[in-house]
Amino acid sequence: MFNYVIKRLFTAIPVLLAVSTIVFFLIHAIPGDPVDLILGEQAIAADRVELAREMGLDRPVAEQYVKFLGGLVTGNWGRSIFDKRPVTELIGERWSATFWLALCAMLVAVAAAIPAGVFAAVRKGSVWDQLTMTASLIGISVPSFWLGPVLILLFSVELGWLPISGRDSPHSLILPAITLGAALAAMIARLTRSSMIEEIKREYVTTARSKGLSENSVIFKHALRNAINPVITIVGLQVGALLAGAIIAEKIFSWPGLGSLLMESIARRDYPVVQGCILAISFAYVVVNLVTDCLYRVADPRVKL
Amino acid sequence: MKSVTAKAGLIIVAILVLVAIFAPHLAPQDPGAYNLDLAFAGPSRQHWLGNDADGRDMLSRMIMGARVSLGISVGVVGITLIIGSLMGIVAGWCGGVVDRAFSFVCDVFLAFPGFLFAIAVAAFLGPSVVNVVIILCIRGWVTFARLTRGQTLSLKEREFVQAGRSIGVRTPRILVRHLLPNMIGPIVVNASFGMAGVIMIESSLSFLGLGVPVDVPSWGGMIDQGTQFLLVAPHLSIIPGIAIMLVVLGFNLLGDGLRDMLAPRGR
Repeated sequence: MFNYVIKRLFTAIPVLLAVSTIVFFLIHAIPGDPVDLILGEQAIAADRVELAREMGLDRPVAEQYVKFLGGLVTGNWGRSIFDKRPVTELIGERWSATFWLALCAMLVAVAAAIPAGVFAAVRKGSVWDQLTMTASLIGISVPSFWLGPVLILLFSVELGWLPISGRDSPHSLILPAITLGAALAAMIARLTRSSMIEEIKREYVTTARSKGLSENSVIFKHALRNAINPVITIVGLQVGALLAGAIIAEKIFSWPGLGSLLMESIARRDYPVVQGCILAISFAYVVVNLVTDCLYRVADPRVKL
Repeated sequence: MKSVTAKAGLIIVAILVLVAIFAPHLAPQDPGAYNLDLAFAGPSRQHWLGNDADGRDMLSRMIMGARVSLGISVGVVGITLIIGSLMGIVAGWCGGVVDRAFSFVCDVFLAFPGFLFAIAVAAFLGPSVVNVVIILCIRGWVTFARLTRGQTLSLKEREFVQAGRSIGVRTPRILVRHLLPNMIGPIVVNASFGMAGVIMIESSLSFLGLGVPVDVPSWGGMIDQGTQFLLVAPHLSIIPGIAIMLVVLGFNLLGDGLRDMLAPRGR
């Protein structure tokens, strides 16, 4: 197991390096001069030179690149052009809001989808099964940037139960978490259902039933335990995707997380912060995938390490 | 196509295609014509879906928006299908260093969440229709490439390919005339799901203001503009959202149906 983790860590390093390289070169992909774009073409020469120096754009690209990678390792991710604060500090302030949002979205999705998927599989072909499958198909097709406003209209404006936006109380988390988790819930429900249908057919389930175990025990203690493995893998892979999807939910609900920071910085053309946010989300994505991969192998002893 | 849902998918997609092709003839008004007297007006006999914040006719903007969404997704799926499939076939066929290098490049692209990648590039390139197509192509080819690589790896050991090689058929001909037709099924299925995915990402980018420019009617952009007036005129964001949902649902259903029809083993 230990060897596997080490090996997996080493395969992640070139991927992280490649991701960082892409993010570095993005600023050079800007058509024209980034300094012009940030300051406007009428800016005075002294300001332009100062900004180019501050961003390191006056140095050769190779030197900028080495400095950029060195900075990533040592925690020097540059400074915001807008308020001159270190990028890592800005990310640090916003990070937890996105983390909680993604975590709650995942919990909402898992809590709703796994029971729904199990029940649909057990009662395959029933009205409940068809209802779950239809709902999940719609769930996969609904854009989150539409679901969010509709939830606001329903629960905040019409019913007045939940706040429209912001992060003032624990209640504020409910609507953004549902908005972000809906598509994931739909996916998990479908996957749990198909995985359970496969498991229920197996011989050990028949054995468990013939031993006289209660149906609940057969379904939850025996079949679900085996059916859950592919679900864990997908959930793990999707947590990373939730971090990216959070950008939309954060915009709709003015949620003060990394996604909002990213969008604010894009609007201000504060490129060091934009780069930092993209790197932070991508790194989190790679790390989450790594952890899932390892957990999956712990959860299923049949997978060889 | 047997299943009812697949037929439903096909009908939705067919309607979208017809609307997109004949958009300029179908749009009852000029989608760019301002009429501030009618700002936020609800549905009426002249304006079936009402008017937006600038009094522009919603129905006409929806119809032209269909053209933008479908045009972008056909462009992206077409380009990525051709480039990705060719790269995957070549990598799978050559094996060795070529295949390892190819797999690494794919892993790097997949290490980024696709949507984040699109936002990252869009943030630096700026919003335009061409940029959206470029951005979605940069990563989109990976799906097709991995698919055709896997297919090539298994097909190249089969007898008909060995037979072709042994009678001296040249490699490009084997790849295009013998391998490619055998993987058309999964490619078509993926193209259908790909269309759904591209429409979703394109409208998400437009919603964030990073996709299609504001003056071009697009469903994602219309929802974004609509949410600013959510309390005054909810129909501005609800109508384009239903359209996106239906179209994405249509392509997903069609993909499901095609998969059952063309590649029953992958069910």
